[in-house]
Amino acid sequence: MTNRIKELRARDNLTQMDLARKVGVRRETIVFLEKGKYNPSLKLAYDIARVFGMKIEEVFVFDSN
Amino acid sequence: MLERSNIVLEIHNIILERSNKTREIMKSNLRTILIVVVAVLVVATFALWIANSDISFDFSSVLMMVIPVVILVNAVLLIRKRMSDARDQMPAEDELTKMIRLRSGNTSFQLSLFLWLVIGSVEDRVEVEGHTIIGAGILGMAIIFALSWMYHRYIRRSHD
Repeated sequence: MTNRIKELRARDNLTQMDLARKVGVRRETIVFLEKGKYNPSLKLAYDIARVFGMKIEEVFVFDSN
Repeated sequence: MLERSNIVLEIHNIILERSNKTREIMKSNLRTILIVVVAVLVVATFALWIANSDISFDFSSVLMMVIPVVILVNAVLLIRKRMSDARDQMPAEDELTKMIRLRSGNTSFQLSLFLWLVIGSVEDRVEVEGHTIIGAGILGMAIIFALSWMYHRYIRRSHD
């Protein structure tokens, strides 16, 4: 699974810390997400998408390969 | 009518979210207090043990000194981390840290079983007192947990 968190964060001028605070997780979790080392729970994916005002599938892209 | 019920639902959600956050903060504070209490108990027991025994520097005594020192260093690091987290308004735990802790516990439990198996098999062949072997086993378990935590936190490539 890939995601556009870094790109969307840059668009909205948010730091990793800002995003982490908004969705109630630690900054390291955002780092892991951006590096693609961690797939979030459905709730966290929903919260992140909501921060960017987008749908989950617009932020997280499932790659079947 | 629908708008009013939406507003009521929104207010309910905000209250629920706030009470959840308060509960999380309270849980985190309780854990910090527990760490402090355990650290104080360890220091007190260690001080009592030092006061009531003739200090010698043989293997078993050094081992018995290392265990409380490891616990204390761990407690100090944990408290410092929690304080900096509180200052940065970061939660002490989230879904990733919980998962890493769970996986570390799982790995270290399995490895610890092997450790005790090895200790059990070499126990009769070495001339060491029983309490020293138990101390070494406990210290070994702590080291295994620390190493497996580091593996899951820094080395493992994906957490999904």
